[in-house]
Amino acid sequence: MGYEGSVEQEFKDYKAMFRYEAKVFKELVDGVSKIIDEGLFLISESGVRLRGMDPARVALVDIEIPSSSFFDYYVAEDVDRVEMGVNMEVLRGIVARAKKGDQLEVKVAEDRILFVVESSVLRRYILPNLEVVVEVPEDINLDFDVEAVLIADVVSKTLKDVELVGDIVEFEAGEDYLIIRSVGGERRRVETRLTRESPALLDLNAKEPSSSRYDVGYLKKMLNIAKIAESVEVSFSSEKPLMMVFKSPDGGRITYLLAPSTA
Amino acid sequence: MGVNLREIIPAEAKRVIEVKHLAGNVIAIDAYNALYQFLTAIRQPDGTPLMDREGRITSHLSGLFYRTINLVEDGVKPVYVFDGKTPEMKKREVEERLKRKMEAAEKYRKAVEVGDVEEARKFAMMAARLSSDMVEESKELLDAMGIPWVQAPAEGEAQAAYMARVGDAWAAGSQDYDSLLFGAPRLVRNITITGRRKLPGKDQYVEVRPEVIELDALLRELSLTREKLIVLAILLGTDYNPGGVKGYGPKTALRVVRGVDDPVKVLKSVRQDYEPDYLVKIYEYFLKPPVSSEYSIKFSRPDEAKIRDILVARHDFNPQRVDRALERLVRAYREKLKARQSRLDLWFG
Repeated sequence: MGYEGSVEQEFKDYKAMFRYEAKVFKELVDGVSKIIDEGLFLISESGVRLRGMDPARVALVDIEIPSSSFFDYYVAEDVDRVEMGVNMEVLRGIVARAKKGDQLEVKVAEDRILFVVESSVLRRYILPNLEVVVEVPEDINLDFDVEAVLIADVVSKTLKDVELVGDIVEFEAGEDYLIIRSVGGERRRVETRLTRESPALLDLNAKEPSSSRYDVGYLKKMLNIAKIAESVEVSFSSEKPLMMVFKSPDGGRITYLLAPSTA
Repeated sequence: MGVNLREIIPAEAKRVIEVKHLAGNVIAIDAYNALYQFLTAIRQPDGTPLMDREGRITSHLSGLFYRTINLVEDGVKPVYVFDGKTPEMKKREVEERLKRKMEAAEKYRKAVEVGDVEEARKFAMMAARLSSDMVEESKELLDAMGIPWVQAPAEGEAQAAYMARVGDAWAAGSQDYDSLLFGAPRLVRNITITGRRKLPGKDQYVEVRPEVIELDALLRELSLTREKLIVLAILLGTDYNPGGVKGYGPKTALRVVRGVDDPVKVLKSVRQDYEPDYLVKIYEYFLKPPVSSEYSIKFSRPDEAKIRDILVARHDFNPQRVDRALERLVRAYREKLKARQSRLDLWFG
């Protein structure tokens, strides 16, 4: 029996399988690996979900990809869900060279996982299925005073400007405006002001004037994901967490939650 | 020195982490422990400590300044806790240490005479002594840096443990394990020596990372209570009874304390070497050490002129290097200490 045959043999009892656009998976993994070290993917009939918090418990990421977004999708009938635990940095290496049009096939068995990257050549990787403990509450209910929808690219570019000035970014919103600003040393200051007339501000709903500060380093890590989404929903309240939701064109949804930095 | 629990701490009770994982947390650092580390480690290859032009040692100030800045840059909030009055029970150990240091100083002198660099370094490190002037100057530097410090009535580790127990600090920071006996819910080791470090006596380097030991996990893994852990430590030897009780190694001690309902009975049954009830006195000291609730943890803006005065004008530190570090400190103060990074758990109910 050849190598290929033996790998197939090894994974003949796999519990879940999915096939996905490798480049999109790469962007997801790139973004998430900056926040969490080990990821627990939960694969169920409805789709794939990955939730985790950074070790300092300042940022939370929650990714949901519906099963309909996959080229191919399977979960064994005798299980509710299949757990896939991986080291995100290792996974990042596997999909690092994925190009547009490449496909990724993942087969999850009890104790190991097979990744097949189908490019001009076929690459296979086998990783142990790690036991990853995720300490994130199942339901998170937060009310926000400000909810806005922005062009994702504009937020990314604004944060790049902000970063030049300082490490803290302030979000402020009133009835008809949203400001993203940073105040640095020696009175340096950078500010992007968006009003209802701004093409980049797609929607704004501010129940009451609010302002809150966040660490720009964390925000930047989150915005890595902006590449796969056109718009981002930004919600916050004064001195409370900030939530950002990205929706990818294929129905995937990425939610980030970031704890505030208070003065 | 402290109690050596290293051998009995199971892998499940400790986690090796990165400093940045401690971001946002107050760590009550055993100041004497940290200063001794700076004094022993920050030296030239032949063991000569850093000195100013008048020959005054400055290794402790260098460590305190640069390594504290590394910590605050990563978002850690250090509070240094200084020892107060040495407990009567520790006098014997303190005298022994002084004797060992004097012997080491003599051996250092001989090694220098014959030009043995490795030996010289080894004995110079062993002979390092922290004077009261050094302690006072360290406090002065911390004040100038805007980093809080707390004066313990007695043992610094007991005070640090108290601060962690009441929630004013997230953990105690020390190389010694005593703060666990004093009841600290968490101990962070290696916090002030994180990074690439030379192995003593060898021309090799290792990457040192912080290690977190959780008291609850430790007790659970060892099937002990805190009271039993204290008795176990006393059997193995603490600063108050160096060398421990004859006949007790880690395995025997663990078996014995696990097997009894009242661990104090084990101490009462020891007849050798000690005054009656002396070991019980140590036990009670670990359970209820003198601590103070009169302290405040407040980070303030670094006084750059004062820091330059202490380090550059008084002690000949390189002005450019100090200025570069000051820039980092001021920035870290503004962004990491003044602005408080909260954790999501606050909103998770």
